[in-house]
This record gives sequence, structure tokens and C-alpha cells, in this order.
Amino acid sequence: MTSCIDYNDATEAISITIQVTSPEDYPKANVQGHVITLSGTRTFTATTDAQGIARFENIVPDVYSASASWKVSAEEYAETTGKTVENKSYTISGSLTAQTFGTSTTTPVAMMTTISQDQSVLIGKVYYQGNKDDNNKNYVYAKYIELYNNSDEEYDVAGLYIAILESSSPTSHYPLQYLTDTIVAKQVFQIPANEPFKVAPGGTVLIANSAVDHTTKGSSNDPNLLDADFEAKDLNSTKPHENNPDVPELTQLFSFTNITYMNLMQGGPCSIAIFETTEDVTGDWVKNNLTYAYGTHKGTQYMKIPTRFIIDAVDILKYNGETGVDVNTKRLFDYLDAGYAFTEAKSGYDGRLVRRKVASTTADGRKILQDTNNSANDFESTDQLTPRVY
Amino acid sequence: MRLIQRILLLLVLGTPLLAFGQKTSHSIYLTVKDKDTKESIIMATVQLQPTGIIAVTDADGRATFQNIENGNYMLQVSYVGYESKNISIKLNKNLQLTCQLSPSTLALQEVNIVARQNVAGKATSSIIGRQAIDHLQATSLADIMQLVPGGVMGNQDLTSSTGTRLQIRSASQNAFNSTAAFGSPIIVDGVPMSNNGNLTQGDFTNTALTGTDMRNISADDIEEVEVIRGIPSAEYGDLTSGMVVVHSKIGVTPWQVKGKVNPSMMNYSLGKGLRMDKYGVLNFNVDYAQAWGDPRKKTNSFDRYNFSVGYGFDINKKWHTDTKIRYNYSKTWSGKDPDAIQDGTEGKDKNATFSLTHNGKIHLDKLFSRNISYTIGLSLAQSDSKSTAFAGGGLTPIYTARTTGYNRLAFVNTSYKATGYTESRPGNLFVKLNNSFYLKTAKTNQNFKMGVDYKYDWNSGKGYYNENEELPLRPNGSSRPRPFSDVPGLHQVAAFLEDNFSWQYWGKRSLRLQLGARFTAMQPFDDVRTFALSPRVNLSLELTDWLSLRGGFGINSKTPGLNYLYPDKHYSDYASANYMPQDNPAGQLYYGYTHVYEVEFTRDLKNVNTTKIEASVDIKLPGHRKLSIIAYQDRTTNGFASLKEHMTYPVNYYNQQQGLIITPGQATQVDVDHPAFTKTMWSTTGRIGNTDVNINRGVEFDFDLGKITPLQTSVYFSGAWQETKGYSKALHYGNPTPMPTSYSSYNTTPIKMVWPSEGETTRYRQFINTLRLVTHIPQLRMVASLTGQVIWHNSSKSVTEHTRPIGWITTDLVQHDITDDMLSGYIGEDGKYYASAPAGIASFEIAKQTGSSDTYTKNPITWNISARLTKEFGKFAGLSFYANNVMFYEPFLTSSNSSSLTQRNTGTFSFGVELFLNL
Repeated sequence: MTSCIDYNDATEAISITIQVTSPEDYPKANVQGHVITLSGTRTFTATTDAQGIARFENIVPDVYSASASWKVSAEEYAETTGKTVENKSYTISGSLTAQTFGTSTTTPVAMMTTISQDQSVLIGKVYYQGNKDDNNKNYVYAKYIELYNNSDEEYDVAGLYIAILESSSPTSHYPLQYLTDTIVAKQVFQIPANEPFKVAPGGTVLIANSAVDHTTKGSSNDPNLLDADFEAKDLNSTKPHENNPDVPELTQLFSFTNITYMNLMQGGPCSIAIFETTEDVTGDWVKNNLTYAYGTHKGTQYMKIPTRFIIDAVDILKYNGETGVDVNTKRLFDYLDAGYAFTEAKSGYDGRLVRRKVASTTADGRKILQDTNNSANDFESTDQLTPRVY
Repeated sequence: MRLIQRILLLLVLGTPLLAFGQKTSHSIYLTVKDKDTKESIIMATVQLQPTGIIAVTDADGRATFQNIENGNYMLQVSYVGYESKNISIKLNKNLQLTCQLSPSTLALQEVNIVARQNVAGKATSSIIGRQAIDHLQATSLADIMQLVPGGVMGNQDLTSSTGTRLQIRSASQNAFNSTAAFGSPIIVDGVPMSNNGNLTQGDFTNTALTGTDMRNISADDIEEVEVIRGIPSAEYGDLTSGMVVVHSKIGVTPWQVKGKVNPSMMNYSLGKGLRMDKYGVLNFNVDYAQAWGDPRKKTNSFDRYNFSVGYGFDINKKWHTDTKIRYNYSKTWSGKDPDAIQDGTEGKDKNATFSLTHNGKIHLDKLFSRNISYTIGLSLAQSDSKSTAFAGGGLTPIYTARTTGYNRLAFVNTSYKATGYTESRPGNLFVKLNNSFYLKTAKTNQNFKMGVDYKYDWNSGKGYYNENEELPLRPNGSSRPRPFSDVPGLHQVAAFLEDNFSWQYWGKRSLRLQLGARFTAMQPFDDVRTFALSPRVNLSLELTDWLSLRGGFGINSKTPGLNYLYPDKHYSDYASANYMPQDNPAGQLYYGYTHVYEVEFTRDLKNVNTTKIEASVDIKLPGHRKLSIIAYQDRTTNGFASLKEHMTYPVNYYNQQQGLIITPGQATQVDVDHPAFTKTMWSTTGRIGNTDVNINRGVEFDFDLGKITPLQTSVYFSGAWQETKGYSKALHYGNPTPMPTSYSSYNTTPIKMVWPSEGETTRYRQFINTLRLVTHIPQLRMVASLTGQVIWHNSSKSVTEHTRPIGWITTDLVQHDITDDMLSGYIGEDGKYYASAPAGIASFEIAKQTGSSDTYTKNPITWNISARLTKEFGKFAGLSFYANNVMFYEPFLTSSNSSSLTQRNTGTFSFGVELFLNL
């Protein structure tokens, strides 16, 4: 009898290897000496060898996500590619999401990587969850997006576009596998281009739906947004957002419905991209770049945005409770955001936002935010709703 | 064809033939007794078939039929709590008969715990008797409906109103409620429970009139329920697809105490039928039910008190009356879990209904007036709902304007607690008079029924109002308080005539024909009057000993209720100026525009007509097996829906740049005549029309597989394939795309595109099989049943095909047609057609104004097994136990168009016990 049944049901520790490969468009990357983080119930790290292989010994079988990223300086990039580039550094990053490791691996698991230019202006915070007011009623008026100048130079954000990506339910969204080099936005706004808006190094741009002091509107846990830089005006609701006439208007270029304020979905998904282009993307350009949701020829139209315009993007996905986040609903290609961010509230109103982590602080106290092109590494969920603080 | 000619001939000649039969007529004297005690039974119903004449036994248990022509008859004797008995008689002299009825217990060979089919030649219906109701442990009428072919097994959560509305033969219980459920009446002791007097606040909604809440009908006071799925008798009107007829208990019964408990509710009742000999029979029933839904949560509750007193009395030997007074009080509550922060938010609904039904039968035994019966019903209800919640939050303007115009509005910046009330006082009076007689020859019989009824519905409620009108519960809803008492009452007069014809041909085979017509006039003295004629035919034909065919055709007609006839005003609100400087509170201004459209009382609204056709085959198989298959189609082509009629009007906008006169520290003024800009707004008028098309079709089958004698087990197999399809006959209107932000930002459009009707359809399909194994051991006084149900198919499909726009309407509401040669052109924002894109103005490419979508969702196959057991302990007590979804099958499965796993069959697992004592 005992020969038929294996009574040894104890969990055995396993060893696995992961190999990072060079990005396709940067084939000669130095893959040695980079730290791969393996995170499951517990987190492990290991360093790659000359072949880019990292070994994890004695780990518990589990579902793991792995990620790695490292910087490539402008000089190194120029040397390797022979291309002359602007004085900007690059980040190589890669990730493996939700891989089950049950037994030891003999051949290394490949981790593809991508390379991207480091950006000076980044998405710093997205407050999309909404909150409960002092009467415990849902309060959605204090939502905001914050941009951050991560470089050591002043940056002019005038004319910068902010895209809120399509956020319909999994049955009717636009799956990534049907897209090439474009992403699909439900709303596009622009910071007014008529006058410069310079942001100092470490400075922020606060963009609100309602630039008022929300603590005086019965929602004392929400922030005071009186000093917001721009406000998306609510033009047609019968129960509108309270707009502050002293705060400049964020121009709306496109909206999938007649909502004129930023439609940041509490509960998510709420993926955001910022982009810049010298092309005229108004008028007929918008008309020619509209699309229906995948598989339909009717209903809501979205705007397609070429990924070459994009400066920075964060994929914020819906948290589904017990089943976590559905990775299949990612709205951004890995080269735009190799991971995803979320806050752990199924339907929102939990007074949390996603915020970029601080990577380092310079001698003069300026904070450098983490930008590894993987929001799973770069962003954290926090209940610190105060704007402009990191 | 020859057959039809012969029928017609008989119909014509039937009357004179009778003159001869008359002379040889005799009387029948019947005494009804209890088989065990030999006591006479008072108020037993005796029906003389095929004549349809009814007599009721007196205090000595005697019933008399006089002036009956010689011939063969069947006497059907029935009484509450007893097995019905049929006696065949041959009348050629005066007959003295005694009939002994046995109390219905599980000790008898026959039990009936599944739905029975109605007799041939009448409406297709399922009859569910007391034993079946007991075995099911039904708490309300909603539970009983699962015995009907195609009924989905489950537990009715009394705290939830979903699924409590009656719909007959629909593949989707929640779709098309505005017509299908609204038109499925429940008739209790001859009086329809009227929902015509229901009124709601605001514009048309699909859920406003959703029929009668079956939760309020207690199951313990019911003797028998008949669910009419087919073509009903012409005596019934004001319905669409089908109806339910409830017969409550009247008669001498022992004291009966019942208690049932399951994890989500408890229900107790006490009933007694008291014999007072020459003073008649007095029945009463008290019933209390309490439900709390999911026992893990304490956020909902439902309480129901039912009290009824019935009185059966013979005014004289020929005049029998049954009077019943009912009082029903139910309340539902939903609020915060006791463990959560108690902030006073809750919803409370109270419903108190007092009703009186009085039925009289006068046994005249005259040639053209054998029975005269009449019904008087009165129902007065108080339906109150109170809702307390936090309203507002953020900037909340409070629109209270009742007339068109601009107003400086009050506004609040924080959420506030508010309470709103709806007070509805629907009342209903119903009077019906019916005369019946028969004409008989040797081979034919004709029962005639003719009558009139009158129905009056009104509502004297205060309607919707707020505790504080300055801080309303729905500060920015599109409706305003409206007293229901402003709405006139609804009169309905109907007359009907019906002939039940039967003919014995080729020996014992019979042909039965029910031929009837009903004429209804609604508001006959008002300019909203409507008339409707409803012909109805049911035919059955015995072809051989084992095969008979049935068929029917009928039109049912449902009048629009008060809510559809007299809709509320239509309010549209706009923010003309919204200036909220944060550093100048005194200057803050909210200037609103309200457009009020006085919706005319809907003059052209017609009755909804449902045309029903059905055909069926009944096959008798050896070993008492029976199979019947019914194919049906119910077609409603003029269901109630909101008319997509548009109106346009200008709205001015004022801003800091122009129109607002801003002085720091002072109130901002509006320069009314100099707005910053003006936009033309569109709105629907709120009128209601007959544009909904709803088609139900399907096949039902009922297969009685007979008894496996060694196992004492009977097998029943039933099922239904059902399809429900709906679309609108109205043209479809929509905004062109892509819309420039100068329009979309203000929620408006320069033109509306017009697409053909029928471009948007919704379809539901369902295929259900139910297998019931009933084991009955009379020696043990026990019956057990095991029911397995599989939902093989459950799908919905919604299709939109706007393949080609047929025109556009401009802001002057003129419709312009799009001809084939215009399809490559453009429509400018000025509303004009351009062959090529016009310069300088926005335009819409006609070829791009198309759209289609096709969403098909098929749910996975699910099954459910339930087990029930009833055991009697002598005559004095009994116990029932049930478990639903005994396998606890609640799988996570995906549907056809989604990869996400959804838990199925949730809420079906339940168990409960019922104990009853007969004292």
C-alpha cells in the first residue's frame, strides 16, 4: 500500500534561476552585476553573473513576480550604440509577473528587458480612489494628478498632454494584444500652451478637478487643493464639481463622453500617460484617430495615441479583492510600464493614492523619485493625500 | 373543414333542439358526508359537468340541481381539506345520492405534490393544490411559481423584491417588467389585486410599475392556485400574458398551527374553519412571517402580518355567499449593520392593505339563468416608504423650481442628512356580475357565461415629499414632489360572453371549444378613453384514445395604469452660471435654469394587446403515462415605453467674462440680457407611447412517467425552452459622432441622427429540465421527493444595427431625410446637407454615422438538486423538511464572453423545517 501513495507531502525548498536578456533595441547591454528582486509571500534578491543569470537557492514554492532595472548613462549609451544622444540617461528594466515556481528549474527562466530614456517630468501621484466625507458619504471631488520634475533642470510643462486611458470593464475594454504602438485614451487634456509654465527641479504640477479646500467642504480627510496649478472645469453636471475661478483651466482636447472634468475612476482602472509632440493633434487629427472599443462598431469612441509621443505612463489597475489584480487588463506595453500600480480597495473611496517612491535625496534636499519604468517597483499606495509632498 | 361546418351547425341548431329535451328533465339531490365521521359537510362545492352549474351544500350537506335534462353527467364534489370526488350519473329519473369525502392525508393512495394540468378545452394552466404547497413549504405565492414548467428552483429571499413580480412564460424574470409584469394580475377569490392605482415620482421608468408583489400573499391561507399560462377565459381581463388565480380556504377545518423555520426566515400561522350550522362557516387565519435574508448580515429585514376572516353564509336555499376580509401589513427595512457606525441612514417601506371580497352565487335553475354569480371587491392600501440618507456632498445646488425659468439657487457645500417620504394610497373597487346557463342535447353541451365588470382605481396619496424641502433627499433629481391625489381615478367597464361547447362524436370522443369575447372600455367618459376587443378561443379534439390535440388563440388587453396615463411633469435643469470664488464667499452664485414640460395626459395611449397562440399534443401512453407538449407564442406589439419625442429650447450661460457683474465682497449679479453665450438644448418630452414589442415563445412539456410500483415512486419530467425577445418600434435617435467639445461640453448637439426602428433588439433564451421523483408510502403517511433541475441553456443577446441613418432632425425639430445619393456627404452643424466637408463649420460625415454591436452572453450549464420530505403523525401532526441545492453546488464558472469567474447558484443552498398540528 505504501508504495502506491506518496505520504511525503512536506514542502521542499527549491532553487530557480532567472536570466536577464538584453533589450531588443540595445543588444549589447551589460547584464552582469544587477540585482533581481523576486517577490512572493517573501522577497528574495540575487545578483546576475556575466551571462545575466541569477540563482535563488532554498526558496519556498510560491507565485513570484521578478523585476530588475539598472541605469545606463548617456556616455555608456553613446559608446554602445554609436548614436549621439541628448544629455539624458536611460533605464533598462524587465519583469516577470505572477509566475508559479513549484519545482526547481534546470534551465533559467528568461526575463526580457526594455530600454527607455529617463524622463525629467514624471507622473508623481494619482489620487483616483476618492474618499468618505465626514458623514461617511462617498466624496469624489478631491481627486488629482500630480506631475514631478525629476531632473536637475527647470522644465516647461506648457503644452504637455495628459491622457486618461480607457477604463471599461474587462468584457469591453481594448486588450493590449490587438494594439501596436498605440494606446487608447478616453480623455486627453492639455496644459495651456499659450504661456510657459516652468517647473523647478523637484517641483510639482498639481492638476485638480476641484481646486478648493476640501477640508471645508465636509471632507476633512481630503486635502486642501486651493493652490492647484490647473483645474479641469466641470461645465455641464447638474450637480457639478465646485470650480475655482482663480485657477487656470486645463484644456480638454478629447473626451469619450460629455464629461469635461478628469474621469478618474475610483476603484480603477485608472492608467495615466503624459505625452508631448510637436505634431498638431487637434481637430482632424482627433477625428482620424478615433476608435470604438475592441470588437464593436458602436458606442463609445476612444482616441488612439502613438506610443512614440509618450514621456511617462503608469498602469493603475483594478483590485478585485480575493483574486487580486487581473494582469490581462494591462493598458500599457511593457516598454511604457513593465508593471502596474493599485490600491487595495475594490470599489474605491478608501482615501488612498498611488505615489512614486523616493529613490534618493540630493545634498540640497531635492528628492529624486524612483523611475525604473516599472510601476510595481516605483509606486506605492499611501493614505498621505497632501499634495506636493513625497 | 367538414368538422368545422358540423360544429357551426350544432352551434346554430343547438338552441331549438333543446326545447324538446326540456320536457324530460329531472332533479338531483346530493348529500355530502365525511367518510370517517359520517357527518354532513357544509358548503362543499358540487359542480355538474359538463353544464358547469354549481351548487353549494347546506348545513345538512345537501345540494340540489333541478330541471336537469336526462342524460349522462359527472358530479364533481370538492371541499377544503378533502379529496375531490367525481361521480358519473345517468339521469332519467329524480336521483337521491350520497357522496362521502375522505380527508386528504398522506395515508390515501393519491397525493398531489406537483402541478396538475387543467382539463382539456380550457386555458392551459397549472393547478397547484394544498398538498403541493405544504410539501414545498412555500411562504408566499412567489415560492409556488417554481412548480410551473420552466420555473427556476430556488429560495425566495423575502427581504429582496427582485423576482417577486409575476411574469408568465418569460425567459427573463427582470426584463420588460413595464409591460409583462404589470400585466400579470393575481386574482384572489375572484377579485384582481389591482396595480393600476400605483403611481411613482418622476419620468417613465421600466421599474415603476412592476406588478403585484407576491411576497404579500401568504401561502398558508391558500387552498389552491391556478397559474394560467394559456388563453384565459373571457371573464378575465386587464392582463397581458397570463395570470394567477388564488382560491383561499373557506370551509370547516380543524385548528391548524403551522411553524416553519429556515436560516433566512420564520413563518407561523394559525387557522380554523368554524361550523356554525345555520349561521354558516367562519374561517380565520393569522399569519406572521419574519425574514432577514442572509443570516450573516443584519442589514435587511422583512415582517409580514396577515389576518383574514372568511364567512360563508347561505342567505336562503338558493343564495350562497362567501365574504372575506383581509388585512395585510408588511414592512421592509434596510439599514446599517449593527456593528457599523450608526448614522441614521435607513430605508423603510410599509404596506398595509385592507381588502374585502364578497362572492355570491344564486342558484336560479332557470333555463337561461342557471347560476347568477357576483363579486364585489374593495381594496384600500397604504403604502409608505421613508428613506433617510446623506444627500449632496461637494457643491450641491438645490433645484426646486416648478416653472420654466432662471433662478438663483440655494446651494450647500457639504453632505447633509435628509429624509424623504413617499405616501401612496391606492384604492380599488371591483364589481362583477355573471350569468351562466347551458343548452344540452344528447351529443352536445353548451355552457354560456355572460357578464359585466367594473373596476375603479384611484390613488389619494400625498406622493413624494421631503421632511425639509430646503434640504431635499434628492436635491438634483429630475423630479419634484407631486401629490398623487391630483391624478384622476381610472374607470374601466368590461362586458364578456363565452360559450363552452362540447360535442361527443364517434362514440366517446369529444370536441371541446371555448369561444369568448371581451370588450373593455377605459375612462369611457374622458378624452383619454380607450376601447379594446379581446376574442379568445380554446379548442381541444380527441383524435384517438391516446392522442388529442389542443389549440388556442386569444387577445389579452391591458389598460395603462394611472402612472402611464397621467405622467408627471418633465423637469430639465441646467447650470447657467456657476461662479464659486473661494476668496469671496459673498460673491458665490449658482444660477440655474429649469425647463418644465407639462406632459399632456397621454391621449393616444392604447391598451397593450398581447396576441397568444398555442398548440399542443397530449399523448396517453400505456401504464398511466402522459405526455403533453405545448408550443406557444405571446406577441405584444404595443407595450408601454417612453416616446422618444424631442423638444428644444435655448439656455443662456453667464460667466466672469460676460454676463456676471462681480463686485468683491458683494453678491454677484446676473446681466440677464447679455449672456456669454446661448446653447440650444434637447430633451425628450416624457410622453409615453405604445412602442415596445415583446415576443415570448417556447415549448413546454410535462411528462408524467407514471409510478414505479415496487418503489412506490412516481416520476415526473417537465421542462421548457423559452425565448423572450424585445425591441422598440420607435425610430432611434442619437447624437452624431464625433461631437465637437463645444457641444459635448454643454451636453448638447446641433442635430440628432435618426436610424430606423427595430435596430436594437434584446433576446433571452432559456432551456430548463426538471425531474421529480416522488416516493409516497401511504402506510407510513410519508412522501419524499427529490427534484433535479438543469439549466442547459441561459443566454442573452443584444444587437444594435444602425447600418444606415435615415435622416436627421434639426433644432427646429424638422426631420430631414437622407437619400441614397446623400450617403457620401456631410451634415454641417448648421443642420444643412453638404456634398463635401464644409469649411469653417463643424460637420458630420454621414457614412460614419453607422454603428453596430452584438453582445452575446451565454451562461454555463448549472444544476440544482433539492430534497423534501413530509411525514404525518396520525391526523394530528406533520413534519416537513427540505434542503435546496443539497450538493451545495455553487461553482465558479465563466460565461461565454468573459474570462472572469463568477460564482453560480449562489443563494440557492438552504434548508428548513415545517411542523404543523391539527387540533
